[in-house]
Amino acid sequence: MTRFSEDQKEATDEMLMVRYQRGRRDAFASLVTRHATTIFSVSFYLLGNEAQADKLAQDTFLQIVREAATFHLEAHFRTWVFGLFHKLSNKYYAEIPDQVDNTRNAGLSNSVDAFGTESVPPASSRSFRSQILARRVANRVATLPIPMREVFLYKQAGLLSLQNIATATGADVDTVRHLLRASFDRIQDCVADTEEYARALR
Amino acid sequence: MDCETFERIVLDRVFLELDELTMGAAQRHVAHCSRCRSIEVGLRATRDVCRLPQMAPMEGFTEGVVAAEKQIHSILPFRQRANRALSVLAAYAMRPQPTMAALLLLMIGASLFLVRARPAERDLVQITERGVPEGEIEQSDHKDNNFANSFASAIPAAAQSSDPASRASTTTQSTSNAHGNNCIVHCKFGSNCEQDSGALGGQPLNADNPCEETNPSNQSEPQFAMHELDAARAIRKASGCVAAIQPFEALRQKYSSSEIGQAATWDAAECYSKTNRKQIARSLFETLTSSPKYAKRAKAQLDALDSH
Repeated sequence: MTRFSEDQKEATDEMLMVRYQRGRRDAFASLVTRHATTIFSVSFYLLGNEAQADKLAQDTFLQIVREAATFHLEAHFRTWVFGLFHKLSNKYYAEIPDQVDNTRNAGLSNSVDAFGTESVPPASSRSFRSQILARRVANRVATLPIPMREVFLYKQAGLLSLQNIATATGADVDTVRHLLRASFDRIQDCVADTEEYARALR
Repeated sequence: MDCETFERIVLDRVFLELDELTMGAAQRHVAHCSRCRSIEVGLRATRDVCRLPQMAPMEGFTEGVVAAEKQIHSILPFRQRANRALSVLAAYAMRPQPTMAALLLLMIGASLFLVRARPAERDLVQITERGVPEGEIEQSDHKDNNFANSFASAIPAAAQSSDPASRASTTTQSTSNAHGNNCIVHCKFGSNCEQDSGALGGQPLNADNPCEETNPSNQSEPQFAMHELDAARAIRKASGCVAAIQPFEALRQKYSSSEIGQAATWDAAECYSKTNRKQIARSLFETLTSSPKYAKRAKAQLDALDSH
């Protein structure tokens, strides 16, 4: 059993997915454990609402179950999953567009508040400053147009390459570059005055 | 590389997704282009600063997804279920162990049908002195019936004679044992023949022997006579000439005109000669001098008797 678990840990995403295709449900559980945080983070920053994000993340994993037969070993699992995520999130926008816009800021504010505003640390604390910076970035991301926001989150939170983002979203790589560059330029404006940015410049 | 090209690939460079060749060209460009260098530095700083913290999903998220997955599978359509089962079976079939096990079972099953027992492993077959398998004796019982009767008839006759004859009778039993088939035939027909021989008062059986009458043999007479002669010779070999004289005499009288009769006469004459009954032997040898086959040998025997 221990050897089996170690084998699951060492296996790549693609190997686990193939195992799941062959009926190994434990492989699917491993995949969920491995990618739940990433998928949930992207959906949370995208929708701005924890409940909606949870629902979108669950739908994404259940879509993996439904579409398992279409996965090929040669494909990149993370790209394939974000492709499913992209289709589902588009449906989300179509179904509840107002809800996304309305709850966006409030949801992000609540989530960033959860980082620790209840026990407020000294202003000089580096962790506190990074929390403030994260809130600022999250709020700025929430104001981005959806395609720009999506590409930014796929890159920064999903850790996909530009090529894989293009594959997942169905756009060409130049479009992805353009969207990502535009999102970086906009976010750069709101963090340029921070100490962290100045330090990063050095 | 010019500034326009650099701006197009600057994000690839920031995220280290460029190939070495393009990366080198971009490096050479930013080395002498301060504008592009500042753009790159600004984007790198934004990349580092804008790392969003990872958000953990709600508690029980994984369990909920796995439970939902199980529910989805419980209502899978038949086709997908069949495909999944086929996939599982195929995965097992690709492993060497089941293939080897199936092959082994196939070999064992085939060997049960195809491999025959080796000849050496068959039951031992006992054969008679004449090479007939003992198992076939049942079929040839009737054929050998007359032979057995005559063989049996010689034994009580020998028992009726003098001491050497009774000794011959006991040794006949051992001869019968040694001859296997003959012994069986003798025992099988023994009661009948002994009864008959008793009825005849120990006299040698002749052609009127009841045993012969009950014999359903369709064997040709020369072959049957040869069997009788063989039996008489067997008695001579086992018990000596004293016991063998009687069957030879019976044969000589029975087949006097045939070649078997001449052979019996020759054997009887030899036996008489060996038992010092030379007068009878001489007369028998003299009868054989008219036979082209035995004439020469008979004359030689007569000369030998005369010389003694």
